[in-house]
Amino acid sequence: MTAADATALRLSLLLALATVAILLPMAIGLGRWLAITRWRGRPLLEALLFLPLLLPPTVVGLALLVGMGPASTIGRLFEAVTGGRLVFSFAGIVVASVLVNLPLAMQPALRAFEAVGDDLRAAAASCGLSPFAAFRKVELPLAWPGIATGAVLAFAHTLGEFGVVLMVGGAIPGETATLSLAIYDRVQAFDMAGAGRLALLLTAISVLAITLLFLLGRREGGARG
Amino acid sequence: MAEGLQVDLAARAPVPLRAGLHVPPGQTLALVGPSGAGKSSLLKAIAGLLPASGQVRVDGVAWQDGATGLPAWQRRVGLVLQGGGLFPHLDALGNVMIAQEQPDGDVARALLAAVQLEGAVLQRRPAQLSGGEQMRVALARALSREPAVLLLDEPFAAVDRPVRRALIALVARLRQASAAPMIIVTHDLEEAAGIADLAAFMDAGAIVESGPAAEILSTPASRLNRWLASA
Repeated sequence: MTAADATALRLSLLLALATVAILLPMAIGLGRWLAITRWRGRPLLEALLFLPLLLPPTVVGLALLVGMGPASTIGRLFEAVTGGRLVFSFAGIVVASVLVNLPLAMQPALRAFEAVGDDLRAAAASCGLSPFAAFRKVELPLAWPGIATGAVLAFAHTLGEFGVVLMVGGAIPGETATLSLAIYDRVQAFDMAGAGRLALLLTAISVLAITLLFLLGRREGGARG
Repeated sequence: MAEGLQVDLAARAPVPLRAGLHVPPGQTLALVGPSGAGKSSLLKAIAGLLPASGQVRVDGVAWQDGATGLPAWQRRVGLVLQGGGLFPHLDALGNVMIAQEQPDGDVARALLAAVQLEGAVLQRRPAQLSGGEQMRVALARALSREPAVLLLDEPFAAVDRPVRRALIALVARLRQASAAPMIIVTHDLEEAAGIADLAAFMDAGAIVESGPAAEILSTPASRLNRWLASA
C-alpha cells in the first residue's frame, strides 16, 4: 500500500466515522419523532428524506454542488465562518455523505421505535417514568439494535460512496480523495493489481461491518424474544 | 379526605366518551360492556394516557380538572394492560423494579413472592414466561408504586380457565391489602362477580347502569343482563 493509498484509507474511515457520529443523533431524533407523530405531513416528509437514496448520485451531487457552492447562502455562510469553501473540502463531503446516508441510518431506527408500540409507552408512563426516563430506560434499549443497524449500514455505504463524493469533493488528494476514488484512479491508470488490492481492503472492511450487523440482528432477536 | 375515585370524563378518540363513576376506597368496580363500548379508553383517560376533559379526583386530589390534568407519569396509577404490557428487554424482577421510585430488589422480590413468583423465574424475560406468569409480574409491577388507583384492563383474557380462576383468587387476596379503589374491565361476569363490589355497564361511550355488583350482575332485569340475553 502506497502512502497515497494509506491517506485515502484514512480519509475514507474518517469520513465514515464523522458521518455516523453526526447521523446517529439525527437518526434517533427524527426516527423517534416520526414513529410517534400523528402529523398528516409525515408520509411526504418520509418520502423527501428517502429521496437521496433513490436519486442517481450525480443528481444528488449536482444539487449539493449548487446548494453548497460559493454562490449559495450555505456556501457563503460557511466561508464567512471558516474562511474556506464548503465544496471540494472534507467538510463538504461530510455534509454530502450525511444527507445521502440519512435515510439508511434513519429508516431502521424509525421502524425500531415504531415497534416499541403505544402499549409499552403507556406502560412506561403508568410506571411513573417521565418521558425522558421512558425514552432512556424503555425506548432506547428496545430500539437500539435498529439504531445500530442503521449506523452500520451508513458506515459501510459511506466507505463505498463514489458519485456524490466525486461531485462534491472533486477527488483532491489528502482532502477528499477517498479509497473508492483511489480504486477508480488506479483503474484509469491501468493498475489493475493495485485497484484489486484496494478493492479487497474495502471489501474486507465492509464484510466486517456487515458481520457486525448480523451479530446485532441476533442480539435484537434475543432482546425481544 | 378519603373519597376514593371520582370520574366524570369526556373524550373524543378513539371512541366518543362521556362517562362518570365513583369507586369508594378499598372497593372494586367491574366495568362490563360490549367490545368498542369505550371501557379501555375510559381506563386510559383516567390514567392520563388519552386526551380528555372533565374531572378525575382521587381522595380529593384533582388529577384532571377541565381540559388540564396531571401528565400520566405523575398519576399514581397501578395499570395492568391487556397482555400485561411487560417490557421485553427486562426480566421479571427488572419489570417490577423499573416502577419503583427507589429501586429496591428485596421489596421487588417480596412483591413477586406475593404473586407466587420466586426463584429462577425472576430472571426470565417476558417471552420466557407463561401467560399466567406474565400477568402475575404485571400485577406485582402495578402494586410496586403503592398506587392510589388500580386499573386492570381485561387482565385475564389471554389465560386459560384454571389459571384465570387462580389469578382472580390472587387479585381478590391482594385487594384486601390495598385501600386503593380498583376498576377492572372484563367480559367475564364470573370474573367480575369473584372480585367486584360494584359493577357498571358501559355502552357507546357512556355508563348506562351502575350499582352493587350483585344487583347488576345477577338481577335478570338489569340492563346488562337484558343486553346479554339479546346478544
